[in-house]
Amino acid sequence: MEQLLGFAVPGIPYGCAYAVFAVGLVLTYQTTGVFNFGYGAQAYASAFVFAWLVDDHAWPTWAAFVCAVAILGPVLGLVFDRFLFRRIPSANSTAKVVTGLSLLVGIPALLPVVFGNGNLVGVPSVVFNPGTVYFHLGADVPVNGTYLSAVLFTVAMLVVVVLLLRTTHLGLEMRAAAESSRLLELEGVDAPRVTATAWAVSGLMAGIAGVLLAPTEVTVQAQDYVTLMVAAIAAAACAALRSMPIAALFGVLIGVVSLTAQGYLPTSSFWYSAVLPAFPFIVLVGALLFVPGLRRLGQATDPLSSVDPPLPPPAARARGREIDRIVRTGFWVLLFAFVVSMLTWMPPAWETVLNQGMAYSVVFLSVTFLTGTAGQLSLAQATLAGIAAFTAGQLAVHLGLDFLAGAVLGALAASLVAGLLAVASLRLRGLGLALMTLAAALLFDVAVFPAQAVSGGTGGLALEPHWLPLGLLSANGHDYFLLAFLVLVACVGAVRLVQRGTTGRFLAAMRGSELGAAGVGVDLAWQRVLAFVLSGALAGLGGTLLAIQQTVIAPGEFNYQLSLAFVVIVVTTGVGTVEGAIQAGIGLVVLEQLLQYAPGRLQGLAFVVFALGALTYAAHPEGIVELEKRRWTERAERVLSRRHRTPAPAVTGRS
Amino acid sequence: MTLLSVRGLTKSFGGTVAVTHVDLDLSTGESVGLVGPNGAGKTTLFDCIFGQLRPDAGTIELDGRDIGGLSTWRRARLGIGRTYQRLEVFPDLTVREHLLVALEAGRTARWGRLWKDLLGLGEPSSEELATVDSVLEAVGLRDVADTPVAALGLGTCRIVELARAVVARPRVLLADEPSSGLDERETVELAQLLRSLQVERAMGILLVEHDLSMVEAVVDRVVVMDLGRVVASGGFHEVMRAPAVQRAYLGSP
Amino acid sequence: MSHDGRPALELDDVCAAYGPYRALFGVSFSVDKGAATALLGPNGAGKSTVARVVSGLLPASSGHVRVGGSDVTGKPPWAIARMGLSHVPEGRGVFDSLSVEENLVLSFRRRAGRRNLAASLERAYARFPLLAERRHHRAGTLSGGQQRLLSLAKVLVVPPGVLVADELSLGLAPGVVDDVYAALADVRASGTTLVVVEQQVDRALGLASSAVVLEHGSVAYFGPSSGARAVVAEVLERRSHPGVADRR
Repeated sequence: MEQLLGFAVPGIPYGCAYAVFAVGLVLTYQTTGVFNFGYGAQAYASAFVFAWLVDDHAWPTWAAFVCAVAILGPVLGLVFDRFLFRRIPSANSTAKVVTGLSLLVGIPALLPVVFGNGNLVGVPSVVFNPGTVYFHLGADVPVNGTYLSAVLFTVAMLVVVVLLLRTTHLGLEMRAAAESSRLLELEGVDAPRVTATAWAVSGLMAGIAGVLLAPTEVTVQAQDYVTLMVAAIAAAACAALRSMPIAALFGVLIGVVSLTAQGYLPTSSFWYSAVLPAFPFIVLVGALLFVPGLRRLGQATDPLSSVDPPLPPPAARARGREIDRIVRTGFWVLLFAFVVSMLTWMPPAWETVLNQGMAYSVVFLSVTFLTGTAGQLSLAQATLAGIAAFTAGQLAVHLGLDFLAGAVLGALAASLVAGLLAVASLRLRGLGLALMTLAAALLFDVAVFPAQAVSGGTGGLALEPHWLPLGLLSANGHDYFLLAFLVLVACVGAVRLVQRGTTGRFLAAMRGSELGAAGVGVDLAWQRVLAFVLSGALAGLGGTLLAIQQTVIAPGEFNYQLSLAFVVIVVTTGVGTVEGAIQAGIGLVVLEQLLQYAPGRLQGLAFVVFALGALTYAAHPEGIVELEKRRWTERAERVLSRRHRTPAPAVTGRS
Repeated sequence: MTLLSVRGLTKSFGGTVAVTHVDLDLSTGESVGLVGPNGAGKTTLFDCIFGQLRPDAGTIELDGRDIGGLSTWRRARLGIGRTYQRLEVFPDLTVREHLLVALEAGRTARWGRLWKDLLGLGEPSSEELATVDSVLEAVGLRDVADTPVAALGLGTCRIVELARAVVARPRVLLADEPSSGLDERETVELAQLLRSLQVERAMGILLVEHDLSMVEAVVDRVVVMDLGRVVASGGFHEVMRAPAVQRAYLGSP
Repeated sequence: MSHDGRPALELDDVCAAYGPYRALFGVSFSVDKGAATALLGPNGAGKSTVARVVSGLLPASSGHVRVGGSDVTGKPPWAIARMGLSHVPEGRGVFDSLSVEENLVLSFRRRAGRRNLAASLERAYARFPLLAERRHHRAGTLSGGQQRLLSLAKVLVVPPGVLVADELSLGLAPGVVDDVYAALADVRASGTTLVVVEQQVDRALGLASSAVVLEHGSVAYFGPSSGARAVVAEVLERRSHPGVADRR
C-alpha cells in the first residue's frame, strides 16, 4: 500500500495537468463549437512569456502573472476568435479542425522566433512553494507544494467552469452560440460578443493552466505541452467532450495510472519502453472506439448555414474555352521547360531541393486524394509514408531486396495499415476520425518507429548504395529526378483518372451527403476503406522517394508533427485539385531553401508560414493558390470578353 | 401481391416511444399516403424501413425477404428509393452526376470499377447516359443537367432527389414530404409525376405529406398515424371523415 | 392603420446576393404598424432572402431597410432583433443541443424580461402542451414538425413588435396549422406587425390585409391582398416547368 501510494502520488500533478487541459478543451468545445487543438499552444505561450519575464527580465512574479496570464491569455483567445474562427463558414467543420491544427503547429515554432531560442529553466511557482514538503501521506509519502497547487487549482477551476456553464445565463448563451451563432442573434443576443467572451475565458483558463502547471516540468518546452495535450484529448474524449467532471476524472486517472505503472514495471521490459509512453494514445483509441457520443463529433449543427454563399467551382472548371486553351498550352510549355532545366542548367543545390519537392508532392497527393476527393481527414499521412520507407529498408537489410521493389511492397504495407485504420474507424466522422488517425500516428511515433528492429534506433536506417540501381543514391542527380518525375506523373494520372471515374463520383457523393449516398446504394464503408488504401499507397510511394532522396530513413522524418503540417500545408495551397499537392510540395521546399539565407532565428519558420497560410483557409476554404487562380482567370476573362465585345455570362440566380 | 410488409415495428429513443407496433403493407403499383400529426413517427418509420435506424422490434420484408438486418445501401440496391425531409443532395455534383451515381451504385462490381477507372474507362456508358437523360427529360430537369446542385434552389433540388431515387428503377419509393418548400404549381406537377411513376413503372409509393390535396391526388389508400401507432387506414375520403382522425390530425373537436 | 405615420417595416430598393449568386433586384415595399402582409411567390423568387435581409442575416448589397422608421441597413441581426423584430427562419429554428425549456428561456428572457420569465414559460406550456411534456428533452430529439412548433411558440407566446415568419406552416400537420393561425390572429390583435412567407397562398391571404408577390427577385405586385391571388396565378403560369424554375 505504501509502495502504491509512493508511485501514485507523484502522478497527481501530471493527472491534474491533464485534467485541467481536458476541462479546458471541453469548455472551449461546448462554448465555441471548436475543438481547439491550439489550446496547449496557448498555455505554452503564457507559460513561456511568464518564465521569460521572470527569469530573463527579473519581473516580480505577480506582475509577470498579470501580464502573461490575465492579459495575454484572454487576448490570445480573442485574437483566435476575431481573426480565425469567426470567419469560418458555420457548415465547414474541416476548416475548424485544420485551423486548430495550424495553431498547434504554428505557435510553438513561432515563439522562439519572437523571443529567442533556448529552453527556459526553473519556472517559479505562484501559490505554494514547489519544493517545500507540507505534510506526509501515510508514513513517508511526501506531499509538496507542487502537488498541493495542482490539486487545489484543478478542483477550483472545475467548480468555477461547471458553475459558469451550467447555472449562469451567460453559460446558456455560450452553449447556444456554439451551436448556431446566427440563431442566437435572431433572439436579440449579441452572439459575436458571447463567443468572444467564451474565447477570452478559454484563453484565460489556458494561461492559468500553463503557468500554474509549469513547475511540474523542470523546463518549459513545446514538446511537454504537446504530450500533455494528447493525454488531455484522451481524457476529454472519454467524456465525449460533454461532461467536464468526467473529463477531469479521466485526466487524473491517466496521470496516476501511468506513473504507478511506471513504478511497477521493470525498466527493461517492452511494456515500459513501448506501451507505457503510448498509454494516453491507447486510452484515446479506446474512447474513440467505445464512446458513442464521439461518432458524430464535429458535424455542422447550424440550421442557418445556408446563408453562407456556396463554394465557388474550381478555377479550372469555371474558365472559358479560350482561357482554357491558353492555360493548357502554358502548362505544357512550363512542364517541358522544367524538365529541360532540371536536366541541363539547374544548379545541383536547387536540383536537390526540387527533387525533394517532387517527393513531397507525391506524399501530399495522398492528402489531396483523401481529404479533397473523399472528404476524409487523416492526421497520419507522414506515418504511412514512414511505414513504407521502413518496410522497404528492412526488406533490403534482411532479404537484400532491391529498394525500388521494396518501395512497391512498402507502399502496399502502407495501404494495408491505412485500410486497417479505416476499418477501425468506420463509425467515426470528421473530428473523431481526425483524432483516431492522430492517435495512430502517435502510437507509431512512440512505440514502433524508434524500435531497434524497425529503424535501428534514433539515428535511423542509412540506405546502402548497392540497394539501388543506376546510382540513384549518388548526389541526387538526374537519375533521381527522372525517377521522381515518373512516379509523380504516374500518381497524378492515377488520381485524376479515379477522380473522373465512377469511384470519383461515388467519393464526391459521399463527401456531399453520406445519408444520400448510402440511400442510392453506395457502400460507404467500402468507399472509405478504398480511399484510405489508395491514399496509403500514395503516401507510401512518396515516403520511399523521400527516403532515397535523403539517403537515410530517420524516425523523426515521419513523425506526427509532420503529418499535421502536411495537412495544413496542402489545405493552404488547395486541397480540391491535384495541382494543389504539387504547389504545396514545391512551395514547401523552396520556402525552406530560401529561409536558409535568412538569419538563424528564422530558419524554423517554414511551417509557421504555412500555418499562417492555413489561417486564410478560414475565409477561403478552396486554398489560397486556387483563390488566386480563380481571380486571375476572372480578370483574364474580363479582358478577353472586352476585346471580343461579347457580353459577360449571365449570373445564375439563387434563392 | 405484397411488395413491402412491415410487422410489429417498434422504435423508441431513450424512453420516448416514436413508433410502436406498426403494421403496414404495400403492393406493387400501389401508392399509400402516410399522414398524421407532428411527431407521430412517420419519418422514424421511414428511417427504420430504409435501415437508417435499427428498430427495437418488428420485421420488415421486401418481396417476402427479411431485410431487417441489412444496411441502407443494401436495401437501396434491393429496390428501395427514398427522398428526404431535409435535403440530402451532393453539392459538388451536377444534376446528371447525381443520377449517374445512383445508377452506377446499383451495379455491384467493386475492384472491377476501380481498375476500370485507373485504365481510363470510368466514363459512363452511352446506355447509362441514355437512361439518365430519359429520366431527366421525364422530370423536366434536362435544362439544368450540367449545373452543380449547389447553384439550384430548394424546389429543384427536391426534384433532383426524386429523380435520383427513381433512376435505378426501385420497386418501392419512400417520399418524405416531397412537396414541402414547393409552390402550388410545382406541387401539382410533382403529384402528376408521382402518379405516372406509379402507373408506368409499377412502383409502390409510400408518401408522407401534410398537403392533403396532394395526398388525395396521388394515393390509393391512406394510413393515419398518431403517437407512434396506426390509428386508421382506408380510402382517403372515408378515413378523413373518421372521428379519430379528425381529432388526431385535423385538430377539430 | 398606422399610428404615427411611419411604417413598421420598409424596404427601399433592396438588392442582395449570396456570394456571386444574386437573389434580390431592387425590392421595395412597406408594412404599416399592426398590419399583416403576406409575402408570396414561386420557389426561388427570393421570399426567404427578403426575410433574411430584413432581419440582418444577409446584408443588403444596396438599398435600405427601415424598422419603425429607423434605418437598420448593415446592422447586425441582434441589434435589429432588439428593436423588436423577430425572424422565425424556415425549417429547423431551434438549438438541438439545448433542452426545450432552455430554448424557450433563451428567447423569453430577453424579450419578456427576467421577471416575466416564469409566467411566459407557463403560458407557453399551457398553450402547447406537447412542449410541456418534453420540456427537459433535448430539442434535437423532437421530430421535425415539433421543432417547428417550438420555434413558433417562442414568438407566439411573447409577441414581438414585428414578426417575420418564413415558411410558416411548412411541415406542420393541418390541425397544428389551424392552431398556429389562430395564435397569429391573437398576436396581431395584440398589436404585432406581421410579415408571413407562406406556400399556402389562400391561408396567408385570409390573414393578411396586404400582399407582396415576388418574381425572380423583384416585386411583381404590392397592394391589398384581394388583388394578389390573380397575380400569383399569373406568375406561376409564366414558369414553364419546375426544372428550370431557378434559372434566369
